[in-house]
Amino acid sequence: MTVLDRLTAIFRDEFEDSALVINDSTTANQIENWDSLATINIIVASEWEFKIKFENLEIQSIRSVGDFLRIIEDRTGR
Amino acid sequence: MRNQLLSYIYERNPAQEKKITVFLKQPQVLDELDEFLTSYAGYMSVSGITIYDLADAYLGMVAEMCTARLEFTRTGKYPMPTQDEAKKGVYDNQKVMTSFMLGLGLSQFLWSQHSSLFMFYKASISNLKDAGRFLEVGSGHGLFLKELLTKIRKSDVDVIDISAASIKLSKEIILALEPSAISRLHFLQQDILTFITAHKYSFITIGEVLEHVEHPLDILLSLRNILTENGRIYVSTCANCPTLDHVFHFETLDQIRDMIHTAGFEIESEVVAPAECCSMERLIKKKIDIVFGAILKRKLQ
Repeated sequence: MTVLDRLTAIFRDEFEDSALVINDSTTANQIENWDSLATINIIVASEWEFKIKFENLEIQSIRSVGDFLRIIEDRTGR
Repeated sequence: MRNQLLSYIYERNPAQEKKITVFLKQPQVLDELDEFLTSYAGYMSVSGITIYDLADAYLGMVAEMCTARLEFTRTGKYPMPTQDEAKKGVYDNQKVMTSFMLGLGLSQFLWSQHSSLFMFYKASISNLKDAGRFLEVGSGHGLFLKELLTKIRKSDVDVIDISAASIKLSKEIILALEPSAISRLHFLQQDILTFITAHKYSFITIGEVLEHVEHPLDILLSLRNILTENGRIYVSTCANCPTLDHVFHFETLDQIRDMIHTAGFEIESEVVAPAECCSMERLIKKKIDIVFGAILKRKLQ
């Protein structure tokens, strides 16, 4: 499974939408319930899934799936 | 002024734009915000606070809340372990407390859950009799106190807050916005649990205090002793609402209601306002903040 596949599963769980499709360019504006609370839930789920830690300040700067992918790939070295 | 404020906030935190824009589509909400900003301008001008300072205070509060929420989601616990640490780190820190209170005050007009609570308070005090003595515990940003003073034009009001910064802010707001009421106000910087008085109060306001202490039941019990026989208490608190100075973690609304009953009160009316509009199942699963407000009366023995 790719990082995007695993992240998609996290997004589907958070937004309770089993058909949700995301890609690098999906932004918070394109998913109705994507707010800062959802960002935090996705961060923590990603921390568990990828065994990494996000910095607190990163909550404010994450605005797209691409932002998540870059941080995860950076921390996991993929 | 509204446009300046919102543009500044949206530019720096786009997630806030999404949330606030939805809320401001509701009827009357924009009018309430404009009325607040117009009235608050008097206080801000006297205190040398610009609209951008207010926006920065709000953004700072949002950032603190996000950090606390992140920690809470990771651990299931509120990040502030004790009341003493909250006092040292927040209540006794003039700069931190003032900024936090300014931000929180503004959130009454930008967040649906805080707005619902404020509306509930306004409705609850609309028919209060201007008789007896009144008490506010934890005046915080001073906006609930100001609202009370617009209804209560004669009676004395005691105000207790553990934070000198909070008292200073409330005093300044009343001086700017309800100056004729200042002679009826008696401010005390004190912990409510050490408050000894010969007075009985016909109405007590205690908004967003219980979650800041380690033993909220003790506070409710102490209020019962100083409430008149037919008096009422406005109380508000929240479940699953981590922030930089919340200590006591109410996990459910029933836990709050049970504590109220244990303290010897009945709930006369209540408001429940979640931070997100979704099913109760999702609120519980995701531990989403739920704000709770109620009017209490003595339970019949």
